[in-house]
Amino acid sequence: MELIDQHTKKIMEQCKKKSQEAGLQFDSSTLEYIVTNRDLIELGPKVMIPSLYDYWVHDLQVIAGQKIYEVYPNNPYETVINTRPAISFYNDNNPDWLNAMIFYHVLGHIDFFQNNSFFKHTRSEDFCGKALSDKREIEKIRQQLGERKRWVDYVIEFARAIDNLVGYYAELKELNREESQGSDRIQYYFGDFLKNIFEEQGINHNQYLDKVARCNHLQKELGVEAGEKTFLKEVEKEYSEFEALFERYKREQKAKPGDVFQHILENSPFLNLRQNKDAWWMKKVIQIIRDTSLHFQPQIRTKIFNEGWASYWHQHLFIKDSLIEGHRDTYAKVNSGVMVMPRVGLNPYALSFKLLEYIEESANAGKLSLEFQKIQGVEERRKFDRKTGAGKKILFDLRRNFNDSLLINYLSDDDFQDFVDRYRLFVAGKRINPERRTVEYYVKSRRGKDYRKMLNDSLYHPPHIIIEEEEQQTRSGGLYLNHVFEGKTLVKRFIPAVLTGLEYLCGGDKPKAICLETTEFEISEEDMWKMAMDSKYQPNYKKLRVVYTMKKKNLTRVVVNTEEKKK
Amino acid sequence: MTTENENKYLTAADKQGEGLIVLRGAKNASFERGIYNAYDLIDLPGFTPPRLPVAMMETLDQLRERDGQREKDGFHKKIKFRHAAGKNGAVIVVPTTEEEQLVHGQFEPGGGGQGSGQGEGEDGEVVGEQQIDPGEGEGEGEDNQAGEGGGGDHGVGSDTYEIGKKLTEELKLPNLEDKGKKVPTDEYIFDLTDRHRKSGQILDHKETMRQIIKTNLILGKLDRKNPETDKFIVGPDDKVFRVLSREKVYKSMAIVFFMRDYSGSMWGIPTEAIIEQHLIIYSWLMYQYEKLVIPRFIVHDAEAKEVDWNTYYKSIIAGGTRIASGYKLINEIINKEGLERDYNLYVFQGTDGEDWDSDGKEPLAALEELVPKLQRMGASVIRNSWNKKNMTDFEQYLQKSGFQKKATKFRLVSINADTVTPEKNIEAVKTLIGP
Repeated sequence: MELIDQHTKKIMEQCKKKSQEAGLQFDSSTLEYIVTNRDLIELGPKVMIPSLYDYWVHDLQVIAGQKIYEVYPNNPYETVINTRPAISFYNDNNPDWLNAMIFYHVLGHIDFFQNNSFFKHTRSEDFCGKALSDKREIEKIRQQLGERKRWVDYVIEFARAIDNLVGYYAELKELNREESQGSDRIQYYFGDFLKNIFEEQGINHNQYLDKVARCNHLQKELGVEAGEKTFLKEVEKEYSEFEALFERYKREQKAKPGDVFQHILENSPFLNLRQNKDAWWMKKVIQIIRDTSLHFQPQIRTKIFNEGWASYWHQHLFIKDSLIEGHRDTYAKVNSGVMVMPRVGLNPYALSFKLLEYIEESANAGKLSLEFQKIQGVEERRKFDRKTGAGKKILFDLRRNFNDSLLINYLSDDDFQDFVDRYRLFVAGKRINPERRTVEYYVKSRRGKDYRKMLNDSLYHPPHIIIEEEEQQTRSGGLYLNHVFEGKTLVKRFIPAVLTGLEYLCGGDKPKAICLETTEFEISEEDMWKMAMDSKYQPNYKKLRVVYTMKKKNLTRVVVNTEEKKK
Repeated sequence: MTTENENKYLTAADKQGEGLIVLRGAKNASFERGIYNAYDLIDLPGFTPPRLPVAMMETLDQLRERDGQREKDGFHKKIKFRHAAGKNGAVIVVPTTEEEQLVHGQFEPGGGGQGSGQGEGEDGEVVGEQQIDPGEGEGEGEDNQAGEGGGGDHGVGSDTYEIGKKLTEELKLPNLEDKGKKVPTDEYIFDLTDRHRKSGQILDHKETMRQIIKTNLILGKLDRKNPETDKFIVGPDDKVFRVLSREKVYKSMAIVFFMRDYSGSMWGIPTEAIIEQHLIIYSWLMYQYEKLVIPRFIVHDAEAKEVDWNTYYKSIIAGGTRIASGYKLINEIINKEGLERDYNLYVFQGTDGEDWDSDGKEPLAALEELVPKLQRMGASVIRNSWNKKNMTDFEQYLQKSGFQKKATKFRLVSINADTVTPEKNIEAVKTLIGP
């Protein structure tokens, strides 16, 4: 891996200037490397971070079944990584103009990484440097352990088994809380406190706004601190139990277990046993896996937006760049490969790019306003154009504040239907044709709502697992994990391995019972077959709530609840 | 430089729809392409996606050792060693693993099974179609490396013979004692088996002694009761020598017919299991016959045809099944080419047991003709889920006719498709080739 040559670097610096003029914002220093195929093979499993820790599984071809899911929040084979300075990768055989185009795409990504609020926690530190020091630390530990070094790999394995459950949103919440205005009490008042009162007494929105206005008014009149104090006095008068509830809230916040990692680090009898000579390094390794996972969380949740954003900018900027001269037709050809929606299948670049352009266009025409939304007539809607020029600004705002889910659900149903119609998108259904022994793809629905639902269902979403402290107490076990059912079941065959790992981390040689409560469906083979052939077929199935218990490497499954569901 | 490179990546870009290797197993890139298997380095022009890793940091042996150590430490084995078909008749070993996590699967009643599409089309109109791949099984299937176009050689290229040797040792597969027929080959060795009197390379003391005693007996020089060896006359003719002579080498050669049903009902796990078993058997035979094994491949649905290595591993056709067609073709080939005389013949068959000819008259007749010519015949039945509880057509007519009892060289083994594991495959192989 070597740095690109000066000549190419110069061209790229020009591209940087042009993109900054267009409004993109990013740190001025970036690093660009030429990579060979060999480099890519080694970098891929390490999610393109050259300094990521060594782990034997990286050396094998890791298989994730096509139908199942992406195991890791990862971006193997991305062109650019979220480090400080941002690092990107290039092929040394490319002509200048192509490298320029790719670089515009890269700059789009860098701008996104460095401005989107979902990446906030990755900004304070250079991940590449951190990964390197983590890697060295792990190497040192391996050396120290000598013959027993394989235990480091076991701990890595068990920690990685739960790293998709890391408390990403909790981390963001903490960061945002620190920045927001007002003391803890004010935050609590306008947050949980009033929310609970609303739910109980049904106070409406306007009353809430009144209180906000009152608080602002006082702060304006008397100064921030004094104003707050006065306001809180008024609150106490109205709700005498406020202070007591606030104290309780504070205690609950402190006692919150955090994610599974944190829980284990704090509470695992094994890891906190004084006699455990290995505890010190085990905790370190677990922390490293957790930090690494946290770093990558935002990327997978903003994949669609990020790709669309980068595509938008490489399209708009490169067209205006003089380097395109003489290569327009070639560019058109290769770009179409990226930008064309396939007949069947989803191209995130294309979809997102078109969505952003659509939003920009709508914003420019003033169609994202309440005024427009109220108009019913088709012709009137079509002709509506206030020429606000606000399109770009809206896009930049979205880029700062939105992730994939927010972006997809941003437009109103009518607007989204418009979007789907314009690009002739449809929900493709899949079914088996037994006579021809093929899988058929057919037009299932052209409704915007259905399309949006399909997109929402495809978004990355790790299972929602909470730790039930009480259950743990009653069973005097190591862990009680509750998988909150949100519509999809867990992949069964992975459960034993994950629980075995947890059993080791919690109990070591003195294993503690690890329980996982989840939902499963009981469905006959025949029904499975019928469902595959006909997507409209409604099977008879039983919804079961089951508890898996892993104790001393033995897994048992107990049904605790059933619900028969029929057509 | 510019134009040349432009052409280069243009070709790569043109190939975008055509079987780009995308790491996370999204084989059918254009159909199943989704949000999370789009990568800049693969989708943007100017890059060639890397081939899947061939070089590994650890050798296969080291990996096996690591896996073995896992068991000793009390954890489950994690590395699967699958056999795949490489180029030109090679068998390769592909080590794979999975990283287990608590993650959502696809199943949700009333949901799932849909994606995105673009373009023209009425509601319900079919817009795309795809052959069901051998790699796609019922439920959550794993990637089948052998099915990959152009990516077949991404395992570790061990010699098939070596694999056979390893398998025989590790799995304790039987060694063939009597390999039966031997055929003269074109090879010669020089051997000291012939004898020649008067002159030669090495003196055969015993024979020479015999001759001397004979001669001296005739001459009356030998007194049986009191032999005086120093009074013996040794004539030049008495000396018997061993001489180097050129001998033809006789070797046992085997021809193995791999026959499988490739009709529509075989898609998924049945085909995978059969292929795995056949690869193991082939490697084992290579070792046993010291590489002198000629594999021949027969696929059949309602008709049979002989195919090459590649086609055997990848084909799936939609159609019905007549097992007899395969047997008949094998019989034909054996008769036409006169193979029975010189070669040790083996037939290994894979099927899901379904047969249009449900009373079995034709296949049984063909088997009666075929099996006596063979050293061994093995049949693997991988029962599809709808046959789980009953016997398949094939098994039924075999049992009814009592053929299995009569034919000692015939072995049958059945596994249910939903319980196939590498261990079960190995057990099946052992039954098929064992004593």
